[in-house]
Amino acid sequence: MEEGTRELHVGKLVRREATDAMKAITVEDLTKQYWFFEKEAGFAGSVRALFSGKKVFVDAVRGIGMDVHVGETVGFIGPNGAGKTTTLKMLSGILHPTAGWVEVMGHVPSRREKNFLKGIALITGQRNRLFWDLPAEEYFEFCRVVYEIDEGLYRRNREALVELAEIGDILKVPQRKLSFGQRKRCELAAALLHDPTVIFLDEPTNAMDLLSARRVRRFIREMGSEGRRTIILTSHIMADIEEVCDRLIIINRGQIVYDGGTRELNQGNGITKRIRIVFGGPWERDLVEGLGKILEADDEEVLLEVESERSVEVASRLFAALPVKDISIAEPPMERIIESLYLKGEP
Amino acid sequence: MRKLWFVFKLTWLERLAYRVNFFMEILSGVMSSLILVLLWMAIYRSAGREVIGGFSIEEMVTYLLGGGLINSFILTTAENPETSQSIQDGSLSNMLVKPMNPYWIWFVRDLSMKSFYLVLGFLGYTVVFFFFRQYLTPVASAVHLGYLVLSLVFAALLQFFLFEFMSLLAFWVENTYGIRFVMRVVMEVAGGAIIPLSFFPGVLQQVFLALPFPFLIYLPMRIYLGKIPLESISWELVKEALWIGGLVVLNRMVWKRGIRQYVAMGD
Amino acid sequence: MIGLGRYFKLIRMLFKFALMRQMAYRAHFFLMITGKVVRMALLLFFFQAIFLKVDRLGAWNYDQVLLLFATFHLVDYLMSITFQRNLAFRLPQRIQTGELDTRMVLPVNLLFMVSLEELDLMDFFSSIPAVAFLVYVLDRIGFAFSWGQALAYLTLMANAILFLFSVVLIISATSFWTVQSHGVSRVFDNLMKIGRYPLDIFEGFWKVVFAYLLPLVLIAQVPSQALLANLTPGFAAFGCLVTLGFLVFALFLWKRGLENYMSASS
Repeated sequence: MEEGTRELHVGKLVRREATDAMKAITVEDLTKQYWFFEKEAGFAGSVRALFSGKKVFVDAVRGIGMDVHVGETVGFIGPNGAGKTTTLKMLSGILHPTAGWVEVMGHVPSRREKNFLKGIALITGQRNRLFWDLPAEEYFEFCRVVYEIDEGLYRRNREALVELAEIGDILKVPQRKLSFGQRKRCELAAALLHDPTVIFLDEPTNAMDLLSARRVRRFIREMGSEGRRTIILTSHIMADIEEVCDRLIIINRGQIVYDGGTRELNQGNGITKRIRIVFGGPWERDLVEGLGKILEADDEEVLLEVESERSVEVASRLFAALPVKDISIAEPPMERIIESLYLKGEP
Repeated sequence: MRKLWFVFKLTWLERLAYRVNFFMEILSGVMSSLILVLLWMAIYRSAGREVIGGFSIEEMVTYLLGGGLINSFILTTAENPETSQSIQDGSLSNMLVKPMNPYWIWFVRDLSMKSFYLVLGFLGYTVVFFFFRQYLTPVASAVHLGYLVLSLVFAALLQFFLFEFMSLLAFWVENTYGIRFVMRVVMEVAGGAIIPLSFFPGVLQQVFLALPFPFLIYLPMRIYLGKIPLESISWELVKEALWIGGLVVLNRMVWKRGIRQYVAMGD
Repeated sequence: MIGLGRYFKLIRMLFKFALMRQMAYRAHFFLMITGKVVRMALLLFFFQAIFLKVDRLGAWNYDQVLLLFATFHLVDYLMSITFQRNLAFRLPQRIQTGELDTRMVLPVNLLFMVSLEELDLMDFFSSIPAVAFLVYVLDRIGFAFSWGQALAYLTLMANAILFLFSVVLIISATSFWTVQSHGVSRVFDNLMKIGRYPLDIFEGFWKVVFAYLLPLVLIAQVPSQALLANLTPGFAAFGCLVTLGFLVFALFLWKRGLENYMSASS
């Protein structure tokens, strides 16, 4: 093997490539296929299925590829079942790819090597039941031993994280007695004690109230601001991605539909927003007509479709010219965005 | 009345859905009995004796297998955590708003489960009975059979009221699992399932016989084998009925007090 | 072997956690220990009752059966303190809910974590009377201490535990494919209980089954025989080989299971 190159075996693929120190994550042709026996309910069904062998295949992820550089904060977004969580789990080593290549910080995740695992963190939106009947500080101690965190670093990180997550007064409370939001913040702090360089977040604001969600987003932004951490998060909530990530990857039906800047997505892709205005008095149709496409209208209300990037401008013009009593601007649903992208001919 | 029958049927259907799991439980009970039978057969053989402790080998095998069958519905339902759980997690509140007394719902469910396990037990034990058919003795007489059935009904009731009483303590105690566990542990031996109680030495035997557990398996199996004179059978059953009566009264008291407290607490 | 130090530290920590966890429910804790000790005592009375009527169980006299009894309980407790609940119940649960993910991401051997995550201290305390009983029995049979026999005993007990670990792991690992459990662990519990009887009282078919096919003899009988000095080195070696075979298969199944893990969550 030549110097500066490396041979990686993943699935049936063997690759030789120049190592790139700046790349945190490399993914190529990544595929994940589940199979299971289609069976009727009940025990008899299970037994029959073992013999009839009618396999059902699900292509969760179909040959996706991406390069992520150190310091980037990337969001995977897509409808449920699109394959974003599956991809995340392949990146963190939980799932074995069916085919293709994935490399994170120079390791093959599914090998679950100690040095790889010491450098990453996984935070899910679900309930974490690891030592959940114990106080957070015991969990921190556990992390200290498991990750072999140096004393000094541990003390510094712990202090900083406890303050950032605002959990100083609940450290001694058994975690099962804490509220969901509190537990999540403890989990976040614990996950970062070992100073991971790659952080995976799976639906981090799932089941959270607005306030907690905002706090979590702020926290993640902080983590990413230093530039030496690579953050990947999945969500089906646009706000998570818009506020936190620079780069957005839309995954639909196991394939990447869009990979680019968050801001650029709304520009020129035919993506629109809907503005609903409730008027406090009579309004003139002509004034409104010029600003966007009228979808619904009556004496008191109008629903207007406007290009995404112009929505704020249009709204302010409406405020200025007409007796607006109430206004709301709605996100287009994920499906509409994807639809627009397809129509626009994005790959 | 019809509502209770509905509960009975519903419980059956519910159990039917997980019949594999429950059958596995029965199967493991069958295995336990089988091992005991094999053990005793080896004991008889190596001791070279026809009768041990007043039991011939046929009687012993019949005793153990019959006891095992009774255990299929006595031991399994003794683990039922439903009552305690609904008190502890507050789902009792949902039951209280309905027009049926929760206590009777639990009672009917228990009977339903017992009958379900009895059927499953027969299915499991039939195979074993077939293999050991030359060792089985038939019931002593038709009269004995009648008494046997009565004693089994009493056993079912006795076990329910005993464990239900423990479960109702959940109104005051955080966790009743421990106390029910201890009770089950004692029942496993004092019930007579693994060895006829007459084998135990004097003092220990007296202690066991003072408890209600021997009525569950020791009594029915002795009736079956004709090891008790007929006059004594009625007396035993009367004693058992008294136990049941006492427990019913106890259950009523505990239920009334418990409910009052439960409702007052506003869960 | 520098890495092992971390594992010892972790075990100590898991022990501390188990204590904290169980001390939170003190009454329950003590009741359960009571129950287990009562169960052990009642079983003892059971054997006593048998021996009131018979002299021997096969080639085993009363004291020897007591030795078997004590050994069985020690092995059983060691298993239930450590991996039994963790593998038989928690693992299928975690596979089903996807909670296994959190453990997979930790830089520690997953099998270690999954087997020892929640130690059961109730059985730890219940095993103390069992150890005391063992000492009492050894005294009764007038055991003359010899390093060789003691070592053989401990080794064969370790072998028993490894054997049981492999069996439990095999059963639990099937959850990677079936996801639901079908109550097989109940069957295992009862199979296990067979180990408390001296199995060479059985003849023919059953003897072959329990000595060679599913060698439950390994659980308690074999270690006891080492102490009683009537174990053939041949059978001891066979026992260890069988355990090795089961272990290899169990680990293979574990590895395959992880590769097939679907992580059901979203």
